[in-house]
Amino acid sequence: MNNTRFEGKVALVTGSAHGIGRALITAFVQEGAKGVIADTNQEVAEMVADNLRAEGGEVMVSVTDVSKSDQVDAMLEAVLKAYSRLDILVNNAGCYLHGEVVTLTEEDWHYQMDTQLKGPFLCSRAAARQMIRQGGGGRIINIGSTAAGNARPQAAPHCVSKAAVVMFTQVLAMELGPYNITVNCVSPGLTDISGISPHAAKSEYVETFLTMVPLARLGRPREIASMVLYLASDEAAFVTGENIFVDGGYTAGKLSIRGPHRRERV
Amino acid sequence: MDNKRFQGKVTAVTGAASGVGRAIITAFVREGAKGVIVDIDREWAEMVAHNLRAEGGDVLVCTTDITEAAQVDAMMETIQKAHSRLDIFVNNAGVGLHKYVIDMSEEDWDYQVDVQLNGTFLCSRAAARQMIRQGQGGRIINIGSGAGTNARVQAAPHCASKAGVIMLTKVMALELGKHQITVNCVSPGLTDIAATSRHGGPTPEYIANHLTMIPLGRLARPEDIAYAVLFIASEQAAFITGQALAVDGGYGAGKLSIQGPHAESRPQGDNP
Repeated sequence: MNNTRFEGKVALVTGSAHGIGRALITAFVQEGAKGVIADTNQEVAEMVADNLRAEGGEVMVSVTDVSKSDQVDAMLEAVLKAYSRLDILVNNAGCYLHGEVVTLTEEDWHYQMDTQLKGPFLCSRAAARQMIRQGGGGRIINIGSTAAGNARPQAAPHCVSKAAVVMFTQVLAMELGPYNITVNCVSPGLTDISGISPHAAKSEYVETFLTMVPLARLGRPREIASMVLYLASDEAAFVTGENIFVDGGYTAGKLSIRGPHRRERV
Repeated sequence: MDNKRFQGKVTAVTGAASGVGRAIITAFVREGAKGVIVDIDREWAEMVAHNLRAEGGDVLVCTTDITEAAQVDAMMETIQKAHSRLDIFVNNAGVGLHKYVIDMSEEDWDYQVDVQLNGTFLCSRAAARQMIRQGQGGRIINIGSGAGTNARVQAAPHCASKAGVIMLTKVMALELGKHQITVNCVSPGLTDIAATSRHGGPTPEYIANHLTMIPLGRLARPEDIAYAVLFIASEQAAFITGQALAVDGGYGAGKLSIQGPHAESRPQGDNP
């Protein structure tokens, strides 16, 4: 792989202090991009930035709550001041919340919807305006989830916001096509973020989940990054409005249902 | 791009003598794969092989009608004899046919469904059996179509067979996951194959009409499709299986021709 595939490109990843987001910004910077780490956690964001700089990467940190439009505007201003352009936006920031609808507070609902749905809207709008001004096209990539098409109990705002992000991806692809800005979604399956996130799944959950994954393992953060970087590359110039699962086959069907339920050819 | 991404990998592409299939086999061979051109048209297949060999490529031709199980078995035997293995199989062969259902003969229906759906089954089954014997995983990639999820008039067997291919992709992904064989689908939008197709591609009127529905405002280039297939076939895509990836300039994302509200925005005192 050519390590300078994204030379001269400015790539911004929201929620990139931890987890999959950290793997995304790391991959972009290692392939030559100037990276913008947008996160609410300044301390960890600066640590990730320091580590990337130690490898020779060019990285800036923007402490941003993506659900606040004034903070998103300030983030774009900071990026333009530092790098004068923005080529790639990855809407990755997410938050965690588990509760059945009957016990969910309005605040809980808004918390996850604001981060996972309104955030991508605000960031994409700001990024698209800048990309249109620049005139050279661009890439917006949303991180979806297998939950976008697979309902789960205790996860209504997560499932709903991710389903909405997929449709947002499609509408935005229609609207930005004339500017050669592609808009796509990458939906990870359960991914092994142990060691890079405080939110890694419990072992019982992982065990149950693995019985439904044809490739019988968790995804690796680097594997989500591979797909995101492909979509961000020149090679994917004609891919837009798509939602691609990197999930080991989890969403392809029901692995637990095998063969006929009656004897064959009775 | 590293040109040896597929060094030593044996890659077969059906319908590779022309059109999108030719672009796919060409891209694989240029990135180091040993190529197998599977096509019913020997003359065109040999011409493509000749050109690739002139560039230093290692290429084999199999003249195969993929709708005949015996010919598919013979194809696998030939590949085995030449290369002793098979790593990547791309089901690309397709046929064109344009008629309303009420005007269509049973033969018309069978012709297109046999090539595009039954042929994909026969080839995938043979390829999967070989990959399981090898024990090192593998890649099966089916070429779908926007028509697999977007109904069109005068194209029932095309749409139905491509929808079938997408579901075949998913079922085989479930069944072959334990062997580390991934099965995916790449669905091209309307692609500019005028230069490499026996049939010259669609009419200018059809293209002009189609372009009004594509957000990126152009046809796909054959290389656009090949890039996606090569990515799915690469080591980097090891965790992607059971997926259909559209390379269609946004055609399948929604209805581009419907713009904005159909009534004036925010009519007085009301927001429907």
